[in-house]
Amino acid sequence: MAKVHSAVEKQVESVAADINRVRTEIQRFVVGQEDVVEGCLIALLVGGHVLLEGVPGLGKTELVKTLGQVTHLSNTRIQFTPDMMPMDITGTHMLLEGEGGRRESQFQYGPIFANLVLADEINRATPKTQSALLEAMQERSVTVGGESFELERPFFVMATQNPIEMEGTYPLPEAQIDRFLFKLVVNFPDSDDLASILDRTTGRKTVQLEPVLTRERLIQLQDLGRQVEISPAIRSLVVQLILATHPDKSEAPEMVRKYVRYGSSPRGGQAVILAAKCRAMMQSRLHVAEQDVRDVLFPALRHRLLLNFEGEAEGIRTDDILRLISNEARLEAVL
Amino acid sequence: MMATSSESSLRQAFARQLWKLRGFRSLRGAVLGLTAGGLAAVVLVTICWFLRIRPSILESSLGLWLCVPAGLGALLAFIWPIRQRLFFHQIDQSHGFDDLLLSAFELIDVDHAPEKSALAFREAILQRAVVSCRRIRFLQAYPPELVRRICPAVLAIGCCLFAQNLPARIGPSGTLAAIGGAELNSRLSIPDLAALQDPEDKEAINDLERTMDTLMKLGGMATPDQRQLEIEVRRLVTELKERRVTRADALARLKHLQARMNQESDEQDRKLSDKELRAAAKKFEKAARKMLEKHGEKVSRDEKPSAVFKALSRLAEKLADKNPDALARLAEKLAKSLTDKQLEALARKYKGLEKKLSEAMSKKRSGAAERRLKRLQERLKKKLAGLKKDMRKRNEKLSPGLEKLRRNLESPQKKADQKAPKDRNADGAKQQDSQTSKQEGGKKSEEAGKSSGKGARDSLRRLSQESQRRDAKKRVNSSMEKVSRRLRRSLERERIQRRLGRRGKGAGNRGPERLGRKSGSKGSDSSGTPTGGPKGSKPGSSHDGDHMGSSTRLDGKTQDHKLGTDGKTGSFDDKTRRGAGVRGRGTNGPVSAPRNIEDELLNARIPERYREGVRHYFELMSEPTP
Repeated sequence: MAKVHSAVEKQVESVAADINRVRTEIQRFVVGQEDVVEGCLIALLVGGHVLLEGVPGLGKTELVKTLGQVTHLSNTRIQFTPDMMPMDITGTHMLLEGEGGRRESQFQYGPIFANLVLADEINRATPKTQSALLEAMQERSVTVGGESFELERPFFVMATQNPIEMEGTYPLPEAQIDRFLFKLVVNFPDSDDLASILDRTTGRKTVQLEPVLTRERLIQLQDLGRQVEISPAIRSLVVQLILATHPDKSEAPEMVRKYVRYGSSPRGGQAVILAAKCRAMMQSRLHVAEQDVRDVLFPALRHRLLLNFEGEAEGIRTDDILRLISNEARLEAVL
Repeated sequence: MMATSSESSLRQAFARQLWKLRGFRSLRGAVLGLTAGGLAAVVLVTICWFLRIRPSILESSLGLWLCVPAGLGALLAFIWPIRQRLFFHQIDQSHGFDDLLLSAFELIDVDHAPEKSALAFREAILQRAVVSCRRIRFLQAYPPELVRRICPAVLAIGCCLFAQNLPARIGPSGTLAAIGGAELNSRLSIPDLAALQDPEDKEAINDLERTMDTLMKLGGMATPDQRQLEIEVRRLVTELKERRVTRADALARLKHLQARMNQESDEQDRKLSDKELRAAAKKFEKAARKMLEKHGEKVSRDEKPSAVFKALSRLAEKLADKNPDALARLAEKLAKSLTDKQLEALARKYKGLEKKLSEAMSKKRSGAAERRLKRLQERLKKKLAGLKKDMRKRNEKLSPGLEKLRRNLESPQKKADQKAPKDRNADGAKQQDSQTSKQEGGKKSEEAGKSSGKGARDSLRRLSQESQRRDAKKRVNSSMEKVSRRLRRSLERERIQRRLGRRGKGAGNRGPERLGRKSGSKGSDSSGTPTGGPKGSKPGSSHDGDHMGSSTRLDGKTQDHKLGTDGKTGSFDDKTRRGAGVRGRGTNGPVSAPRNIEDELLNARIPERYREGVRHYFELMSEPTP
């Protein structure tokens, strides 16, 4: 294909190159989990938050740390526990002795004030503490004692949760879980990846990661990602897909009617389109393709479908429902 | 909004692609039309074949069936509106453009002006789309699929060619039509097989076969048609024996064969009654009359009726020299006009009469002998009178010439018969005197007639053979009739059994269904006393204490039935059937018709293992209990 060297073309191609560098650098430390890494990169470009779900020991925390190191962003880690208070996250006003022995109230910044926040085992904290993240995630600001503090761009929350050992946990409420752009499932690595992990983590040699993406460049990429074109037909496909998740809509297939209590919110559609745009940009494209939508559909919507009792009882997974929806919704139907 | 150069280029590129698509669709539409035309031709040809019509429209022009649908298809495909978005999406998918063309098409299609920041992206997309349009290969987007496309077209052409040379359908043969071939063909269910397994049935079939053999020996099936008839009869017999033909089918075929056989005889008769034959008969009659006038006195004087025969034989020989065919046909006609037995009897009687009279005349008469002679004479007279009466009845339709001829043949003999005893009684001495001269004359005439009598004997033999043939044919006919009768009865029986079976279902099947034969399956005797099913240690034997299953009490209202022929001709099986309690069921009161379990069992296919099981059971039962 003959290259068309316009400015936009060059920009987009450089984006793809940068993202590829980040990906390569991450994969020096994180073995396998390509989908999770891809999802994290897309979320980073979109500026959304990611909920990582997986059993302990699969490298979720390490992935977040690696991402922070590679992107040269400030990163913090919050280990959620049941006795944790909201101020432990947001920070609080403290009485400190100033110059001349004068005591004054000073805001002590919590761990939320970072570019990349790792909320480890978020479901172990109480709802009160969990809700402390709500404002920060959505409004990108923290209000403490009547005073609001803006969070620095880019603000990226990566929360992890353990699907097993549910005793003593507080599942995230729907309102909060909807604020995550993606829910990524970290699966157990296969034999080759496992061997590689063991090899890399038990030897003397340690991997030194280098930052390949600056904060400013990341913000630039985020702005560029939103300019990617999406055709009305593809947008109609997204609408069709979102409507199909609602059991009360005519577009919903039988399985959705049977097992789904609530479908995706419009925020789900936004997530799909934004993620699809960034994915297209990562592949040096200036427009969204049908395949982009279908690829981001699962991480963007799997946590936004609420199964009913029958669905829970029969062990239906939201991925199964989304696969059915994806198969039934055809772009040809909207053309 | 001002169109940019990229946009106008893209529009042109898109328009070119759309024209290409129209052309391609026209081609596909033409192939589709061709296929449709061919399929229509196939349907029409099939319908015409079934209706036995030659489709002249298909014969008229091949092009009509190929070009018109093809052209129509091409035209329709060309003017049919194109879903442009879908088309570009398909192009994107087939060329791996990741919906670039679709996006570009929609970008230039939207009415609203894009934001300034998005203009750069938009322009870049359009430029990419223009470049991509140059890479479009239609065959990549719409693979030709030669085999799939060409096969229907070839099929269509083949159908049209076939329609052009459509062969006329050969109708069912006369035989098949006569035996209801169409009905047989249309029948889809498994036909019930002829169940002629009774000894009497088998005897009837064997009898038919035997009579056919006899007829063949006598040369009764000489012509090809008759030979065909014989083959068909034999085939039917074989199929009946092997149970490969249904009752209805066998009946129909028998009826057809009988009709054909009768038709053959009628045709023969018709052939004989032509003008030539009549002329020959007249000639023969005339000559015979002359001869009788000439030899009448001699016959009365010599008192030898054989002279008449000899004279007639000579006449026949003369005629045979002149017109042998006519004579042969005349002989056949005579053979037909007289029944075979009558002819034989007549011949025997003539001979016997001649012999006895000559003996009586040669010997010296005693009282007893005279009385015996008188009795013989009377008996002969009676028999001849009866014979004559029968012949008259039978030959009412015969030509007057032949009737006269027969009368002439009979009258000298009658005269001689009546005259001989009278003469012998009246002047015995005169007779004795002239005996030597008469004997000499007789010897001379017999010697002279030896050669001429040979012809008469031949004709008599021929007549006798012909009569035997006719007799054999009649026997074949009657055998066929017998087999038909048995088949009809079998059908009737089955119908009754079915009716009973239906009724039995409604009444409920109580009591054991037995596997015994004949008497082994009776549930009660005629007095109504329940006997509890078949008895005996072996199947078929009865009247011992073995009981199979529980019996049902009956109220004694039983009735014996006789299976009649329902007014039909022929004999019938006069077996006495038991009424109530047949099959050991608890049927209170009389039943309207009997069930022949024997037939059912004979027709049923009982597994060999089951048979062995039953046999073993009865063997065990027959052992004496300690």
